[in-house]
Amino acid sequence: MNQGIIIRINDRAGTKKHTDYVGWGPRPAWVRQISPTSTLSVTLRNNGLLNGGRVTFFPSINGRPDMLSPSNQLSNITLPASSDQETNWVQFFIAGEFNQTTGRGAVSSRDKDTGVGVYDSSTNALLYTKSLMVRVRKNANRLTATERRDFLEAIMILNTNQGVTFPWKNLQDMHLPTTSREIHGRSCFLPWHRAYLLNLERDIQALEVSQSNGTVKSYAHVTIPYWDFFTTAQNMFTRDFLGFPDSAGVVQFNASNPLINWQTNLSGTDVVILGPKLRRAHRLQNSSSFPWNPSNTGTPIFTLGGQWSTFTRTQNGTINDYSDYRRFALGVSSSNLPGLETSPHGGAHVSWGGPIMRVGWSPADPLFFMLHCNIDRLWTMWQWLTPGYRFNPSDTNSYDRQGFGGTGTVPSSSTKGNYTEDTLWPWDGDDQAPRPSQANWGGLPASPTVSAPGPIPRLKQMIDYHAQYSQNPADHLGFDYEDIPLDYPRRN
Amino acid sequence: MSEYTYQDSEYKKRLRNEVLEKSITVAEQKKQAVNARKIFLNTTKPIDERLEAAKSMGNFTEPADIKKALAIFRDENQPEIIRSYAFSSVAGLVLSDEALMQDAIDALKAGEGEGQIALSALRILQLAEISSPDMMERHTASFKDALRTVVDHKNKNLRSIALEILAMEKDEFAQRRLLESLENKGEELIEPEVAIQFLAYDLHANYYPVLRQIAQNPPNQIAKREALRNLGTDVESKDMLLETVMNPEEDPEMRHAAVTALITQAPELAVDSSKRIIIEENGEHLDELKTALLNTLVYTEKRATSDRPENLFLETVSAESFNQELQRLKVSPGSAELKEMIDIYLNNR
Repeated sequence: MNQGIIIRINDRAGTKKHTDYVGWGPRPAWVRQISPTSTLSVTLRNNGLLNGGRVTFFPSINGRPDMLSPSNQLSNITLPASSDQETNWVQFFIAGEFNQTTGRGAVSSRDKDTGVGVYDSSTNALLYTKSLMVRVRKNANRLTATERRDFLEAIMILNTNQGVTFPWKNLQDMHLPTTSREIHGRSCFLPWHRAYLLNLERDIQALEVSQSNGTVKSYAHVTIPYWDFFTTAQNMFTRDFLGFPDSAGVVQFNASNPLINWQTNLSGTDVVILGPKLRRAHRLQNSSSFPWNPSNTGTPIFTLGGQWSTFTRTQNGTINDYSDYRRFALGVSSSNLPGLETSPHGGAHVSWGGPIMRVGWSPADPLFFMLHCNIDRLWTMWQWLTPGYRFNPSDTNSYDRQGFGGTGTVPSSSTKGNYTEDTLWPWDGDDQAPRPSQANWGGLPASPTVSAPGPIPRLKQMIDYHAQYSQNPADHLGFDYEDIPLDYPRRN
Repeated sequence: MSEYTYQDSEYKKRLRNEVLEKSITVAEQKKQAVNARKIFLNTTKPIDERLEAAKSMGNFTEPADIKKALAIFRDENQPEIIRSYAFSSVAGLVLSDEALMQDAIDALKAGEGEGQIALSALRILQLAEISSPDMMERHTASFKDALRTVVDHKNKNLRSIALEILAMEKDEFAQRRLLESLENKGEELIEPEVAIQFLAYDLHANYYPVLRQIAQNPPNQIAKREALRNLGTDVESKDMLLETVMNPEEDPEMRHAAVTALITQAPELAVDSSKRIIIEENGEHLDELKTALLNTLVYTEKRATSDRPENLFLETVSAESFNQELQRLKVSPGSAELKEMIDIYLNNR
């Protein structure tokens, strides 16, 4: 099948592993002949598996995608005859295909189920197919059994002491009572947690496990699923996924669920205790003022719709109450108006007993990251749906604290870490006041698919997460949500 | 972005229309909420009518309403549940108002009546811990003091939340009370299986005697399981844990809990015992236990052996013969879940 053609995605040099992943933002790709004897005219079209992901093509103009010309194929590309491997590449861009009419994206359900076929323009013969994946964050309630399993395996590996490293414990130690003021109660709450999610997701995607047959199982295709707590999630709180609490609040799992081995590793606890010790009790089931329906296992009581209050905010209210970032994120507490951080975020946390209910302990429960993935999704939804968009990092409506933060003894709304130009703790290694006193976990892990934001992220880099504003693929952070597309522009 | 324009897609339009439709509903709800607030704040109305109104009144944002709601919250002549609702309806103010935060802490500590007001206050304070960490930090001492006060409250839900928060904070008072609760049957602050979990937030060696006692003479099976699991670092419990693991008459759930505890102090013993159960014991009733043991081996076996390279690995079952036995087990009658786990285990070798 391979008639001397090669395609590389995200990494023209081909020196990195696991680069063949795209989301909704165009990613660079290159095609060339391997041992050309003459020029060749080819057409690029989708050629993936049935029901697999699909991509949209963009021509390249001066190294950038021509955003005005998205297409389901790229016709009549001339592949040069030069044998110089450095000069005979032809660049193009690809992104996951999103139907802007139906609102459904052609996402992958398993690794490499998407294909870019290279066809001879004159004969239409298939010359080569490059396999890749349209990789986005999905609703946890709708994952396939395999997607669920891969995610659970991955987080369980990170939750296992790997000798000198213990990735999950490192993540927990970033989110303690002693670090809370750096990352909560001020504007940086959302950007900081976006970077935090990215840290975990990149840790997951870097995992490789040797198999007895000599192969290596990679988790590069795994993303953090989001817990849409505004709807029932009957497939999430089951024994084969996130578990279901028994009468004592201890989360129960099936015997084959990797989480049966979960270690809570609570902050300050030196002893590692194995076993399904995770506690997640439906704390308020006996409250007469907030009755909980036991059959509705997916919705914590504080995010149930129907009531309009601090405790029970709806998705509609969350996204549409405010058009400026400050009120959207933090509300106006002096007027008794909650922002996203208090509701639904805080409400979702305190709907339960166990580690999830408290700031310093919550990442002990893997549900934490799925909860925050939905918080992040609500932010992206607001950024995308608010008229005029909210992706411009320099616009105070997109983020209220512009410039550099000041000094101080403790984190506050005016100190560093809270302003667009500031670097984000702990990835910047800054352990001096007003920052928390520990920051020795290293930089933000690199991704083989994107270069942003680098090991020391700046707050502003978290805002235009898939380059909707800048239109520059170099700004893409490498994640997307299944239901929030990148909008394509038209010429003025 | 300036050189481009954007046109709303059908998808976005549809979402906006949905939002619009929902906004209409929300607008209606808000209109209803205004009426509901009037009813709720009218102290001459019947209690039932006010309680019904409370369900749809939402947040109070008008200064006059807030003032009335706070007056109701502070009025000891008003029914407890009404006062509780009144405070919940101004919850957002607590996040930025020092005096109101102190009111919330005082209400928690007072624990009036059935504890409804205290529970509302506690929920608000939990939210404040997340959204107003700086303010909460200034009130930490009085918050903990209030929590300690309500650990004896008759409202079990209130007791339980207070105890759990204090236990997470490694509060010595709460730890002592939880231990006493475990030791003195009949004077339980909270169910023993829950008390054990709270103590496990910060395990101390002086808990082990009572945990051993519960493991050997349990008030119920869940308490036994939790006691076993938390004896992993108790050297004196090693024999009991091993005995539990290897006892074919024991409940499989207890056996797995004992194995996971044993891994902490004697990983090689736990691995070897697990392997022996998997290949030496028979019966479909053990499929779930075998699946769980294999599952645990997948994530702990390498660590159990690599952590102690200087020791001769206690190996009564060789890796080779174990794998062969697993292959045999795979083609024997048994659950699909066990066979799938055998594949996962073998693939990970």
